[in-house]
Amino acid sequence: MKTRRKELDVDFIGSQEPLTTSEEKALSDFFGKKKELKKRKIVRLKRTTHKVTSKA
Amino acid sequence: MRKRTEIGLDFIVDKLTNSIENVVTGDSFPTEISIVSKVELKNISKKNGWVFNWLSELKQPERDIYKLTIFNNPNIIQGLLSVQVKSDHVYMHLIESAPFNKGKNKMYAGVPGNLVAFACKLSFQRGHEGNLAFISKSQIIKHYEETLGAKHFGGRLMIIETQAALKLIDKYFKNQ
Repeated sequence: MKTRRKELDVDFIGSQEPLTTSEEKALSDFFGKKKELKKRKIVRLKRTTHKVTSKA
Repeated sequence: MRKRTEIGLDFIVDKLTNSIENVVTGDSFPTEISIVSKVELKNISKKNGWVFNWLSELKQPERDIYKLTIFNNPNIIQGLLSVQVKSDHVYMHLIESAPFNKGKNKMYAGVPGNLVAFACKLSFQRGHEGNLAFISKSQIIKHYEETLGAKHFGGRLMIIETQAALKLIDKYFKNQ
């Protein structure tokens, strides 16, 4: 049986109140780290591919 | 003066894509999303049923304000979105459906969903892997988790990450 996903049912999202400094920092730290991790992963993958290609 | 360019784009969860649906007839209408101008916000006021002060949003230079309209009917704003492209994600300040699209007697369904998916798409386009953040009232955190695949980041913050963003884009922008 197919599960039906609930539909988004809101009139508005968000707030005109600004984020606090700690909220801003928490988001920036989180997304920054995520981006950095991805970058490292790509570099590691490139190195591995290079090694394999060199051996061949 | 900052020149705003028109960007044509277009979202509900589990319904037709690139469109909004007339609640009464069930007919769907293709939509587009473009930058809104000051002139267009002339009648967007609390007096006319809008909750947020969109003129003050437009005055903040780091934010971009988009309108969702039905294709070939650019003068009737169905909903508005305020976003800010940050260094590693897109922050969604506000989304609001037009007064006639609010509550049980709304005319069209799917306006906020369309706009969230658009914000995710924008995040990919700016190299932020679909990452999106926004504020939620505590009582609707679960609703966002269930309908958008959003995660509760802590406090009042919610985030949408790459996989959930891809799902939303796939759902709402299938025809593009």
